[in-house]
Amino acid sequence: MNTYLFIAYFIFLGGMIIYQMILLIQKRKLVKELKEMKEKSNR
Amino acid sequence: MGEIQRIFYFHVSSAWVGFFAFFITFIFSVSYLVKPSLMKDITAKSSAEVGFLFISMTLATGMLWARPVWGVFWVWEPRLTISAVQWLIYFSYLLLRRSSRSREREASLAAVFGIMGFITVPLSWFAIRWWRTLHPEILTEPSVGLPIKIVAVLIASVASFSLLYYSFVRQNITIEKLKVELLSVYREKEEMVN
Repeated sequence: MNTYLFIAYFIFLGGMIIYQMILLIQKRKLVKELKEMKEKSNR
Repeated sequence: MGEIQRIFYFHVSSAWVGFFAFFITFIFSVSYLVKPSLMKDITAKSSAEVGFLFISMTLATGMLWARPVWGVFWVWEPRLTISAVQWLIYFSYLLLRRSSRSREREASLAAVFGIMGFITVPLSWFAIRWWRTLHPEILTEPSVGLPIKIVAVLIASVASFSLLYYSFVRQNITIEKLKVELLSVYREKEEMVN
């Protein structure tokens, strides 16, 4: 495979996967924090 | 052009989706200034963030395509210069969204920025028609005429990238809503303490 084409695939797929991971981690962290806060305020 | 031509599907599709994302930001920014609402602000912000990702991919794949074809990664010709300015404008937009303290003030400023920034989209589109550039005009130039196989793959890639855009924006909107909810819980708690 052409080197430039390979780098392009790598950057594109890598970029999309990293962005998706960031979104998932951010969402999970916020849900956890919100749950904890709601539990604290209910006590 | 050989195998390197395949970058075309990533480059063009990313650019289309990026432009579409900025168009959505533009529409929701105008709508926010007419009648402010949290949801409009969140949608404009989410779309700009995902658009920035796709435009960054367009620049990266474009540079990788230019090197074997033009012999250089970057040329300061009209379309590429406008693309660089566009990238910087939306980068500033995202920085602005993280700097201001008051949500209303931040949203109004960002809406104005989102409207002004959108000027770069039609400018970039018409740059290859208005000025002499190295960038080829293949989609609307009748003399070029893309083979049907290439058009079919291009349509498929634009469709799949659009789905990816939709998925990212939806996730971003959920995250922004969670942030707002969390902030209101913190405020409630502060009020109870006071």
